[in-house]
Amino acid sequence: MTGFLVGLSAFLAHLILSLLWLWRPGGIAPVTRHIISALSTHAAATVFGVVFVGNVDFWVITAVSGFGAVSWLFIYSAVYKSVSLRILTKLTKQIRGRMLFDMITATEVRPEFEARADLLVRMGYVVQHSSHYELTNRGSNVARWIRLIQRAYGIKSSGLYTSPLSQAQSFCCTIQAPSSPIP
Amino acid sequence: MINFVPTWPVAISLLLISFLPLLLVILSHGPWKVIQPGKRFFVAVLTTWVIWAVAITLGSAPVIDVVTGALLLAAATLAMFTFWTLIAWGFTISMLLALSRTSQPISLEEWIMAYTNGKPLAAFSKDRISLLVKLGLANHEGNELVITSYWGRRVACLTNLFRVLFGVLK
Repeated sequence: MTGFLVGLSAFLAHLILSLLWLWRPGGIAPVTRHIISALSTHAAATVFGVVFVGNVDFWVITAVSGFGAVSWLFIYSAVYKSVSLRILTKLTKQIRGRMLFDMITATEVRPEFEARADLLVRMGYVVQHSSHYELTNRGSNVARWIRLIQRAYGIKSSGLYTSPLSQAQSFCCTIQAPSSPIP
Repeated sequence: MINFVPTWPVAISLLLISFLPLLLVILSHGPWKVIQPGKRFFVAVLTTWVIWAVAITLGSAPVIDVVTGALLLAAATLAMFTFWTLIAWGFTISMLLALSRTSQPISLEEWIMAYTNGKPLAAFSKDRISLLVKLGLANHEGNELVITSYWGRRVACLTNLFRVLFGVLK
């Protein structure tokens, strides 16, 4: 039970530290801030537990603070980056909560595509020549790694939830070899 | 003193945490392949949790150890889900891969077409909207999307609250 309370303290300390850090501007990516905050508060709480409580169980502390930290990061990622939630919250600002599909594409989806293109440029994965975009060597390497991971996990989707593949093929087991990737 | 030795429910959870990515690979190829990525993940997670539950019921362990094991496995499941959604449907990752499929510099419009396999950007909007409709957060009405008065508005309100809390409200 002591380990449980120490783990809970670690998670609460992480909530406060991560929020204080996320509110401040800076060059460190938000996910990195989450990870550093979670690991440092976990380590600090564990040391605190050993010094002031005595016998503590590492796995109990890790389970409580780890589950809290992963859930916290999951919520952050959803509200920060999800296009679907962005559209949903935009609907609440409209008269009677409704919006034309074309308006959603023009005011929400297209700016989001442009913002992510800019992000890839800032990360050095893509270079922009006037109005055209091209992968850098770094971007090509990252893309190669992602494709390798996708191949290992048999992912052939195009980034759409309703890809032609998932619509055409139902849930079943098959002995067929994987077909060629979607072009 | 700190005890690093896992109890048996924790040890089973740690084994299953290592097993989950392996099970996903097994379910991605060959005779056990589950074609749709979403269902593949669901089958892998369900199998993992069923094995865990069966193992836990076979022995007797203090509640704190069972809860610890369950929390570890739940954290790993959530982390794996995040990883899975990123590699299967991640927006920015898919944009990068779409650009890598082209052999020459392309305009933003061509990039959008490469991403959506030749469809207009509206196809991507409808794809993301389909998730809101499936979850009962919004409905189609003609050529409009309408937020549902109960769940839609509550989830949107909660999202905005978290955005304020995280300092990411735009």
